[in-house]
This record gives sequence, C-alpha cells and structure tokens, in this order.
Amino acid sequence: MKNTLILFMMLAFSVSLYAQQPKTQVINIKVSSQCEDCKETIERALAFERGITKSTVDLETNTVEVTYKTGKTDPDKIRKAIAAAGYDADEVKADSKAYTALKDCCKKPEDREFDHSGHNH
Amino acid sequence: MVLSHFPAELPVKSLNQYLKMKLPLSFMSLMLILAIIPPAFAQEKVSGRITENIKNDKVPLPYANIYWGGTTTGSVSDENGHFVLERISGNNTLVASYVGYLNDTIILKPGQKKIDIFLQPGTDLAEVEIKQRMAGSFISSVKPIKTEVITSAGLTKLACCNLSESFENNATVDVGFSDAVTGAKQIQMLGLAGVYSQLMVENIPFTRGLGSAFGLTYIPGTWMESIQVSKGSSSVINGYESITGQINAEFRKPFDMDRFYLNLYGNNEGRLELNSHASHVFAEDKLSTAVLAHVSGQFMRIDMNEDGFLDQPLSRQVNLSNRWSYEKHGVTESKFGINFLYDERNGGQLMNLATKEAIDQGKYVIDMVTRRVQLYDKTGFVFSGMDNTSLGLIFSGLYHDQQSVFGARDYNATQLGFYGNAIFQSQIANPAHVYNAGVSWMYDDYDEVISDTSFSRVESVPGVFAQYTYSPNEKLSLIAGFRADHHNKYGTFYTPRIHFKVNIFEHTVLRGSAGKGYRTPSILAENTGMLVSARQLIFREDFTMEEAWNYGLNITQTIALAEDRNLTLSADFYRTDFINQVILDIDQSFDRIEIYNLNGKSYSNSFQINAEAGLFKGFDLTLAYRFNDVQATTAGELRERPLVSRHKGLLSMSYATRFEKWKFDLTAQYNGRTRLPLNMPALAEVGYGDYSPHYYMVYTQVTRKFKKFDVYAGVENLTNFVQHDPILGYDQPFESGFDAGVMWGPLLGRMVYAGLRYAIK
Repeated sequence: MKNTLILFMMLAFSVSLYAQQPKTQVINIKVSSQCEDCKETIERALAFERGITKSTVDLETNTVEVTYKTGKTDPDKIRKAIAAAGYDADEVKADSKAYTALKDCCKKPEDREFDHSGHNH
Repeated sequence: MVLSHFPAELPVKSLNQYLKMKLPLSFMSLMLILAIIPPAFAQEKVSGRITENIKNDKVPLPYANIYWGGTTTGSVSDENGHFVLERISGNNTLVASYVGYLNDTIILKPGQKKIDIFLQPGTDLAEVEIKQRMAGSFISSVKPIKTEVITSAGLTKLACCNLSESFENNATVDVGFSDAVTGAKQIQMLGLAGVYSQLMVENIPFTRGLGSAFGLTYIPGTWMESIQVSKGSSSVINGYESITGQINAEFRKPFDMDRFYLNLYGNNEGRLELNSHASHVFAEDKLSTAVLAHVSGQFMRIDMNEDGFLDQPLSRQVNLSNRWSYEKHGVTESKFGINFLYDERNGGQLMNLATKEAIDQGKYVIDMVTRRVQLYDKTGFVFSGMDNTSLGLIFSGLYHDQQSVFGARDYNATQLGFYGNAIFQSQIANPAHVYNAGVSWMYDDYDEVISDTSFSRVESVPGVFAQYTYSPNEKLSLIAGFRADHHNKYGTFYTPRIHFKVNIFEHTVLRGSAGKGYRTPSILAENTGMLVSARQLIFREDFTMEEAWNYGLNITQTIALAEDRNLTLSADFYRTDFINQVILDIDQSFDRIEIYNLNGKSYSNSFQINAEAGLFKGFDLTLAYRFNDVQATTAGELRERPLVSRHKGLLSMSYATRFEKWKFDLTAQYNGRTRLPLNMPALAEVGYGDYSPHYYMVYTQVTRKFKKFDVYAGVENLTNFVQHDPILGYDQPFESGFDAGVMWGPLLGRMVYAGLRYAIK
C-alpha cells in the first residue's frame, strides 16, 4: 500500500515535470489597434490559435502581450494570425481583405469616416 | 432635434417588421417620430451617423432611434443616418436602436463629439445589447404580450434535432411522446395539448390539420434562428386559433446567415443527422437566397425494455427548403420560398424482421410515409409619405399526404390547404394610435380515411379583423382586437382579445391578456396515440367547434446585478375556460375511447415562477417552477385530466469561458406524477397505482469552439429513467387490452451524442 502510494506520487511528480516540458514564452508584438473593439477582435482571434494560452492588448501602447507554448507555435505564426485578423503586427502588414472588413472605428484614422476613439460596442 | 419622452425602447415600425411578423409588432410599430422641439439653449452636442455595414459599404439607417441610456431623451437619425444630440450632464451612455437590428450601447469618452454607430441586423433581439455571449433565452421587455425568446445560442444547447427537442430547458412548454411506437411527440402548454397553442413558422400557421402529430419533427433545429413562445391569447392578426398560446419559429434569413454551414450529429442509439445550409446574396443586397437541407435517420433497432417493439421507429427524413428574400429599401420587401419533406417511419414488432416480412407474418407494424410541400410568400409595401402606413400580404399553400398502417388499421390522409392574410396598418393622427385591419382566408380540403371510414371534409373560413393599439408613452400600451370569421360548417363566430402592458416601475412590467380562441379538431391526425391501441373509437356525436376563453396576468422584475448581468424574476398565472371542447374520454373502459362534445366544465389553471440570473461572468442560472390544475368533465364528473403533471421544476446552468471557447450546459427537470386513466386493469397488473411516479431528467452538453468549427458532445436522460411497461398487452397486439397510448414519461434511456458544426461566414 505504502509502496503504491510512493509510486503514485513519483508518477504524479514526473507527470508534472513532463507537463512543464513545452515551455511557455511571452512575447510583445506591436499592433495597429485603435479601440476597445480591436482589443476584443485581436484577443478573440488569438484565443483560437493553436499554442496560445493568453493574450492581452494594451491600448495605451498598442502592443499585445502573448503567452504561447514554444513547441506549438512561434512568433512568426502569431504575427501572421494577427495580420489575418486585419491588424499590422510588427513588420507583418495586415491582410487587406480582413482590414477592409473591420468596423470603421478599428481602421486607421486616415481610412475612417468619423473620428470616434473610444467607441465601445 | 430633441425629443421629449421619446419611446426609447420601442423601435420604429417598418415593413421589415411586418415581414418578420413578430406577434407584438403591431404594438412595437407604434413609435415613430414624436413632436420635434428645437433646442432652447446651445449646449454641448454629439453628432454622428448610424449605419449598417454591408460588405464594407455603409448603408445609412434612416429614422433610427438614438437616446441617452436610462432616459427617454433622444433623437432620430435623418434620411442619411446622421443625427445630432445634446449632451446630458453626467450621462455618457448612448443607445441606438432600429427595428430589425440589435440595439447598440456606446460609452462616450469625455469631450467626445463625434460617434459612428454600426447596427447589426437581428430580428427578435432588438431589446438585447450585443454582448460577447448571448443568453440562451430571455423574456422580452418590450413586447406587450409576454414573450420568451429562445435564441440560436439557446438552441445550440440542444444539439439535436428539431423543434420537438427545443424545449428541454424551458418550463413553459412540455414535450413528451404521444405513444410508445410511432415516435410522435406532443407538446403541452398550460397543461393542455399542443393543438390548443398555435404553431407557426415565421407567423404562417405551420402544423394545422394533418401536420399536428409530427409537425414538430418537421422543423430541423439548425434551421431556426430563434423561437418565440408566448402564453395566453395572442393577436387577432394571426387568426382565431391560439387558445393557450403561440409558438413561432423564425428560420435563418438568406441575407443574414453563413455562406455555408454544416452540422453532423450522431448518437449511440443509431440516429444520424446531417444539416447543411448555403446562402448567396445577389447584387446590392436586394436579392438573396438560401438552400437548407436536412437528412436524418434512425438506423438501429433498439428494444431496451424487451417487449418486442422497437423503442423508436426506424426512420428516414429528407427535408429541403429554398428561401428567397427581396428588398427595395423603404418601398417593398418580400420573402418567399418552398419546402419539401419526405418522412418515413417503420415501427412495432420489427426487432428481427424487415417491415414487409413482419406484416406478412402478422406482426404489429406501423408503417408511415409522409410527403409534404409548402409554398409561401410574404410581401410588404410601405406607403411613402404616410407615416406608419404599410400593407402586408401573406400567402401559403400546403400539400400534405400521409399513407400509413397502424397494426390492423389503415390510415390514409391528404390535405390541400391555402392560407392568405392581408394586413393594413396605419395611425390615427399620431403614433400613439395605431390600427391594423385586414382580411384572411383559410381553406383546407381533407381526404381522410381510416379503415374504410371516411372523415373527408372541406373547411373554408374567410374572416375580417381589426386591432387598435394605444400607447401614449413607453410605460403603457393597450391592444384591443376583434375578428369575425365564417366557417362553412359551423357558421359565424367572433373573437375579441385585449392585452395591456404597464411599466409599474422602471424595471417592473405588468402584463395582462384576455381573449377567446376557437379551433376545429382533426381528431385522428392530432391523436395518433389512440390509433396505436386496440381501443375502439366511438364517436358519440358530431363535433362542434372548440371554443375557450383565456385570461392571464404576469409580472416581470429585472434587477441589475452588475454592468452586464441581470436577475430577472417573473411570475404568471393563466386560466383557460372551455365553452366547448371535444373530449377524448379514455376513462370509461380500457377497450374504447369515447369522443363527444364537452358537457360541463373544462378548465386549466397554470401558475409559473421563473428566476434567471447571470451569477458571475459567463455563468447563467435558471430556476423555474410550474403548477398546473387541469380538469375536465367526462361522463358527468369533473376529473383531473389524465397524463398531465401538476408539478414541474427546472434547473438550468450554463457556463462559458471567454469567447465561448468552452461551453458547459446542464439542465435538470422534475416532473410530477400524473393521473392514469381509469378502468384499466392492465395498469395495475404491471404495478401501477392511480398515479404515475414522478421522475427527474438530466441533460448535459459540452461545446468546444475552434477557429473554424465547433465540436459538441452530450448526454440526454443522464439518470437513465424510463417509463416501465409503456406498451400494455404487447404480447397480444391485436387483442383487446393492447394500448401504447398511455404515456407519462420518457421512452428512451440514457443517450450519448456528439457532433460538429462548421461554418463559412
């Protein structure tokens, strides 16, 4: 019984060691976010990407902090995912089709019909 | 432009509304533009534009409401969607609403002077803000007739399969099998059979006549965008038929659905299902079309209770719909389409035999083939230059054919039906007084034969109606309606109905209704359960029309728990009093059903309380309790109606993680005991007393959303409770005593299912 317990604990320990194996990394990416809606859109897009555990857009600095598993994705893939959602990500330009589909408030000021920073749907 | 006492929550009436034909729309329609008072003082202003984003083009929404949150101060946009609004000190919440669109709430930054607002189309949800997560169901706070709306989010909680399975987490509507062999399902509202409530698809009567027994299974779950359930009397505009309430299913709209959608479903009892839709928008969003397809089947032979009968019939269904939508903004709007259905069921003693062999060997077999075609068109015209004035035309044609064998009984029936309704709407002097008037015609030709006895008949019912809606402000509304119809057999009859809604306090709404309803029964089609028995059908007399009064009162209180979470409490009471009813008396003897007109009292009292709360972010809880007291006079004595439970309780929990990546749903039901039919010694032989036992049902589902598709899995009837001995006398199905129509509980045990949804937006 005691042996079983020790064995079990060892197993649990090794499993927890193993679980740490795919290391997580944090990266900051500059994005062309404009408003609360963009924060929502980008975080939603990243939530469904493989390997990404967390993402937070900071609208003050227009950066997104992404926590990801190194074995499953890499910064390039993350930038491409953001671009596919319609936003520039560092040097990767936004997908033009996705960009034009964005709400007016999420577009860059020069492409907008009205100025209305802070529009919160 | 500043409006005082602008009816903030009530969207402008438009043609759009007519076509969607929400029941209370006639009321919602009221609020157009009130007196416009120029601003006295130059204050800080906010200006902007209200548009809809269609394919990256901004389409202006003219005459949309815009107002400060929590107030009645606001304005309307001009023809190009532009608006100017004066700031109210301390209020930075703007709300935009437009009929047929989802409300939008915008928080302005201090000093912000310009704002661009996009509204998204949405039919019934005009009173709900766009949120990350949509509640599965809610009680509309706008409509004068209390309406529970089951949204598409609520519908996905119930992965399978069709309208009959859409009410498991709803305490208002009960669904149960009508017999133990055919798989037909019946609903109950206020403790009365589903035929007393009106079932409509986009406000066109759907399951009249022959469609009554299986109609619920003809509406695939994934086709529906939402379901509206309202108890009690409904508007006279939709006819005289609803007595206990109305259920309206809205299908997905061609201009507003995924370009492609696929849903696959399978369960461990051998049911497979495929649903697929595709839509296309033609030039300028004026014309759009969609094809919806459903193919399903029950392929496994299951007999859990080992009575030699299949627990559910083998079945195949193919259901196709082609819908079209045409819109010329501000002039006309039209929706038309065609539906095809083929449905085949084989049940009974088929465990080891093919249908034909079983019949040849003298086994008890039910064999049914149903073919159905429905055409419909809804067109509306707006009279430009006349405020609030429009004309709506609705047509539908139906062909329904059922060829069937129920053991020793043959039942073959064909229905040719036509329905037409023309509704004119306008206002008297100002939008506080709106009236509707119109004409309708219902025509049904039934060719119905059971074992060489014909029940063929023609029903033709032309009618006229008028309805007046008075809503001086957003706190009060009154609807008075009246219609006169003439039935070719039963003569002329009159249907008065009234409704009111009062906001007693800001978050407290009181509603009431009283009205009459009528219907002509299709005894055989509506009661397939009685065909699956050896009971003799004894028709004592000719039937007259069923006729009843319904009175109801309900109160809804909303309490804000947090910024985006509410607690909604509601209580309602409804009474239905029959003046005439066709009684199917199963209490006289086990070997017959006597069918006659009511002689004495028949009524139903139904009381329900509901609490719905968003307890914390992502978590919704619903608690409900319902009490039914349903009595009818049979053979001179007032008795509790058999197979109707007095008590029902419901607990429903729903949790979603951020972005609904994971979604968990759990529903538990308590179903109270029901009175069993009298004079049935067979019931005592298998251990029943006077009442059936009470029981619990538990449903649960998990959904995981991925980038391009969703995967779901769930369990129905988790506790594996089934009605024991559902088929009395199963060993001698052609002998007196055989009866598969005494149903009070679930037939199918624990069932595990899984499926996936894939959509291209």
